[in-house]
Amino acid sequence: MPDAGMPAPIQAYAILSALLFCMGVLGVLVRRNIIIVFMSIELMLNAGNLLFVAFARYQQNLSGQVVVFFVMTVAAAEVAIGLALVMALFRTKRTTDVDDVSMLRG
Amino acid sequence: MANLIPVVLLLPLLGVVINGFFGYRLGRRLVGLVGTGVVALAFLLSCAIVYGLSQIPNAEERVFSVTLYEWIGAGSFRIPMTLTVDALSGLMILIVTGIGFLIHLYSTGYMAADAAHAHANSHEASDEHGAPEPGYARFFTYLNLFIFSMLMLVLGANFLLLFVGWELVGLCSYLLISFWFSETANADAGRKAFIVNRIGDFGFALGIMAIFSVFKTLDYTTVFERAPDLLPYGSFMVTMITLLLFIGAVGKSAQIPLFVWLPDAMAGPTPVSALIHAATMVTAGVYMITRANVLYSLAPTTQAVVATVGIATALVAGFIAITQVDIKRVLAYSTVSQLGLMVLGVGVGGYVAGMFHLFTHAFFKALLFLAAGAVMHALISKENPHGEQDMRRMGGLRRYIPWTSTTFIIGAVALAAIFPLSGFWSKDEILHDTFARGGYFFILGLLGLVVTGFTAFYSLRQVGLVFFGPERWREKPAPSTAGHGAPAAVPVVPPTTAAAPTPTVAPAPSAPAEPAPGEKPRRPRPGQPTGAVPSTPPAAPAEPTPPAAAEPPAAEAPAAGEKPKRPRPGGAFSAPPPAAPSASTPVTPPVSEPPAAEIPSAVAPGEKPRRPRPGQAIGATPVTPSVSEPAPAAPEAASTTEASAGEKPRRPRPGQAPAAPAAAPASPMAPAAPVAKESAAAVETHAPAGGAQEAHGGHDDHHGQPHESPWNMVGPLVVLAIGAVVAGLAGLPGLMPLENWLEPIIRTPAGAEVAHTDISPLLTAIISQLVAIPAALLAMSMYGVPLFGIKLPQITTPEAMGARFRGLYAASLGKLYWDEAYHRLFVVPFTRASSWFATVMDRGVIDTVVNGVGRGALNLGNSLRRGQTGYVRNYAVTMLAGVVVLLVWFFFARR
Repeated sequence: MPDAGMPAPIQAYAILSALLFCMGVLGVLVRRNIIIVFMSIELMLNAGNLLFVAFARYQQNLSGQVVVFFVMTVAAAEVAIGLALVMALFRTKRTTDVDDVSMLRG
Repeated sequence: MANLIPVVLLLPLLGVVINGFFGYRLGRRLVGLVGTGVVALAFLLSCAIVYGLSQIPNAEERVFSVTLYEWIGAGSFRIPMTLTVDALSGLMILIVTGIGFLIHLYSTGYMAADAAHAHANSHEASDEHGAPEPGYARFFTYLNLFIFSMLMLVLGANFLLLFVGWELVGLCSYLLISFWFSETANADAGRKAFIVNRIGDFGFALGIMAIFSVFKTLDYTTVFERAPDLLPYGSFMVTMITLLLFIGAVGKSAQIPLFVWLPDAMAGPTPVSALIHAATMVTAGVYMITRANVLYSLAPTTQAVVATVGIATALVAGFIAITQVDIKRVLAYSTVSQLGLMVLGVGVGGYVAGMFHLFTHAFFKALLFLAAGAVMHALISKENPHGEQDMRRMGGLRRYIPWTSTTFIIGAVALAAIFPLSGFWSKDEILHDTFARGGYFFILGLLGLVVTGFTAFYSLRQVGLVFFGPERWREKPAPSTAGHGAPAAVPVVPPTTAAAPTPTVAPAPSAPAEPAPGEKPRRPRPGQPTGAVPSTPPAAPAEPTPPAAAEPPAAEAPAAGEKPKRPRPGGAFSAPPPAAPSASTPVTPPVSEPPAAEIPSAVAPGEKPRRPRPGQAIGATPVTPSVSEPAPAAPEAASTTEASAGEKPRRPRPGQAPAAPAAAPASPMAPAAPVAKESAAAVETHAPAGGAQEAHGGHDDHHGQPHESPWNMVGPLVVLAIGAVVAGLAGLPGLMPLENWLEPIIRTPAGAEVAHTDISPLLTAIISQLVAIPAALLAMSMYGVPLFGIKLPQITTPEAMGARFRGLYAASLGKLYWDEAYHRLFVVPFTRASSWFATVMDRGVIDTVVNGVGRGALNLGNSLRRGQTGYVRNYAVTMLAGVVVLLVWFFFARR
């Protein structure tokens, strides 16, 4: 079995995942382009996935890996709906800027 | 035979439907025919049913029962619509439909006359040719509904059906009492009856619920059969049940403390009074107690309460009836009094006696009311479109309306319980049963004798005032707006509230005015009818009047010394009528009379009587309006021109009243006299201002002869008079058909207390006659009623009696201030509490809370609204913050 040396410690996975997640959060919070916001959400989901897989491996437990499949499925569905919404939004408002869509304010 | 029972019940309802929905399209004749016809049919069928009942040999099996359907079925609570005729309800349906029929027949005549006269004041359009007329049809609709309700009440075979009828008669009484609702007083009287009855019905409903909680059924048969087993003798439960039921009876049968509605109930048309007082509503309480006699016999405490309430009512009402001047009001109080006796009867366990008195009373009281209606009818005039009701304006009518007066006298003598008329038999049986019960009840029996005396006195007093003595109706009354309404409105106004002895003090003209502040004192005007100018001696007016009017009661004595204006409480009754040629020597010295008499007559044209307003009258002691009344107007009247005769009625203004009395009689009197004559004459010619009424000739002038009523009014009177004479046979001692008949109904449970003193019926009869006959003779002597054509010597006069028993007189005249007491005790606190709740509680507290909640929600929303920017990123930040908080929470909480 070709050994690539010591496996990375679990902390490395966790830190990477946290970084990815924070990027996603920041993306959602600061970017105005709805597509970017969308992608940032995906990033957060995948940060979660990474952590799932890492821990599944670390604990020799397959259930983590299974959950990842569920997350990916849900993410796919979410993308389908989300992109449809983005399309509808663009067609009606001719914009992809989330700040232009604040008709629901109180 | 049982199949006929629903027909009897539904016939009056058919009349309701026809007259109620189509009546105004049918002619008056047809409406009367339908209304009377259905009741007549019901009566015939009732006769058939009761005859069929009597053909059953075994008395215990004398029950016809028919179940139409199940009315209510909820679990174990089952109320079948079952109608039953047994001995008791058989008797009742005969009374209800029989007397009811006669009253209907009478109404066809009475209401036609009313319709012809009343329409100037009423908004029910009619024309004189019997065209569609809602009022007439409405009247018969209500009457039929009343009969239906009463039949429902007596035919029902369980307590709930009884309750249905119970409530329905309450409704009908309301509708009928306020029949002439365009006058506030009548509408008030109707409401009063309804509300007071509600109080009683509340207790009654509780009683029914208590019965259900014990017996799990409301069916008469079951309840009465199992009562002795389930309810021990004298137990708390049976006492409570019977007392609660009795509260209902107190309301319906007008006993203390709820009798106040009945005297006011005469605000309705007279046939209604007859129907309520004689045949239907008020008998419901007595019927109910007799029906539930098993329960009552099990509760000795209740019996004592019932008997006590009964005799107290009889005494109080009898006492009040003695001095009333309104022809119907005397009868109304007499009804209350007689009901008290019936309740006494059923209270002491003399259920048969109570029912017997109910039976005879139905005859003579219906007779008296209808005859009183005929008297009023005879005196119908423009001023009184519903007929004269004030007995001080009657007298000497015997000659003009022989049929009415004969029947009335028969009724009055029957009421007075003089042997051998019907009232004697039944009242004696009650007294006998009361005495026989012994112990505490013996005292009640003695009080019953007092009631007998009262009854005999006021019956004959009424006869004397109405049919004998001077023809006071000839006097030109002041144009009076007070139709039938006035007396009804007055009840609560004791003229004497302010100063009890006033009536005896005031100068002659004022005295008669006292009882009814709203009424015009009308006095004989000497010489007026004959056209001769009154010989008012110039000196005379000044002499007698000023002292009396100006000075307080105490000052009266000296004045009386010279010109005997004797205190005349009943002043009007024996007012010397110089006008009547045939008049016997006036009781009061005529010298004092004429000047005094001028005052009112002078006033008359200028100032119309102001209708007393019930609302205003209650409690608020009027400033003895009568005394002051004529006075302020007197100067005015002196200058009265023809035009002013048509002036609108004025309300007495308390402020204005006291000012003048002293001055007026003294100074302006002499000059006023002649002028007053003129203006009075002017009124005569101008009076027919209400042209609409002129169409009905004959009655136009008050001076017109009183006339006998049409056959459909006299007929019932004659039938009832025969009944009033012979109804006593139903309880003839030794024969006792009624007692045998009712025997299966009366089931005295074993161990119940029954009469234990053996007392001869003959003895009580003799004793009661020893009370009744002298009392009657006294009244006849005082009020000039001849005995078999022989005039009795006048041993004393009403005035003298009134003066001697001044306090009692005032109390009786003021109706013992019962209404005033209620006003103070209940109405005023209640009104205050209501207004407190309305302002402080409702507007202050509740409104604040409710509005505060609304305003708070609005404000909250306004401030929260700002948080909603619509920017997605803001929401994301919020979410993030939430997540952070949660994480922190978990981090620290999980430690």
